[in-house]
Amino acid sequence: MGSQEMFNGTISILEKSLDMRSMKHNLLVSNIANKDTPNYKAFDLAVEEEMQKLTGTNKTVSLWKTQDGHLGGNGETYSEVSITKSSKGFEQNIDGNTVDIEKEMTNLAENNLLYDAMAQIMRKKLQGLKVAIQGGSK
Amino acid sequence: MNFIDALHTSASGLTAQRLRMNVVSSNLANSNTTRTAEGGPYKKKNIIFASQPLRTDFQNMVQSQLKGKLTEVKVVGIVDDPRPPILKYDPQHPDADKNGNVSMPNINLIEEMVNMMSATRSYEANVTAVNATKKMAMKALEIGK
Repeated sequence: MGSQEMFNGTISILEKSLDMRSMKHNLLVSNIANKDTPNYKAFDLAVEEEMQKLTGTNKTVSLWKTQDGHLGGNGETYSEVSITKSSKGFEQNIDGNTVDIEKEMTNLAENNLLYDAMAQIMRKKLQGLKVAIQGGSK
Repeated sequence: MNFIDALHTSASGLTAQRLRMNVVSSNLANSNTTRTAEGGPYKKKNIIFASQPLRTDFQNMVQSQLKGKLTEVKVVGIVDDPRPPILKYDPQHPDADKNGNVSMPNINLIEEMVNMMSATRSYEANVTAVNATKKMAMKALEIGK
């Protein structure tokens, strides 16, 4: 494993996932806060679908090269994620608000758990690297 | 985009719901008040919520994907309810008019109780969101451990 690839594979995907989960968390929190605001439309971010797109086509996205001499770099550029309006449930409030509080709360819990899971995997991954760096001596 | 934003958003929700609770309390406490500073019986107060884009994070303002999508709640006003006062026949009352009717505040107790319960639940939802945010932030800090 070259040093170039050390942080490229799983870790960069985990990074993406954590990023999107925290983005989704912000959206969910915003929806919950606006639960009683008339005409507020809830937003959602389908992290799984966005990740599919990412791992499918631009897994190895590198920095933009506008000139030949530019280095590619290891980091991925931020691709646009699509934030959608929440799909309409069975009912919509009379005041035009589309927040479905049960859905938002379960989404919040689910998102939270998956964020924790990703963070845990990331941690283990880094621990593994550390062990390799120290030659397994510790 | 960061967790501080999420906390700010939840905080705005908490503030708004607490204010709503204050308004409900005021309505309940004054359900029999016939004299006020502006004259006449107490008028039921209504609170108006509006969503406004979060202004705390510069990154969001320029980043197109989340621009305008993260919104906090703002209380834009507390207004008097337009419903007319209820006339109650009570000739002994000091505030009775010459026909013996007293203007009582038009407050529907059931309406207020429902409002109160709704405010409580919304407040709880926001508290849960704050806790979730804190948990996520702590987990992120643990990555480097």
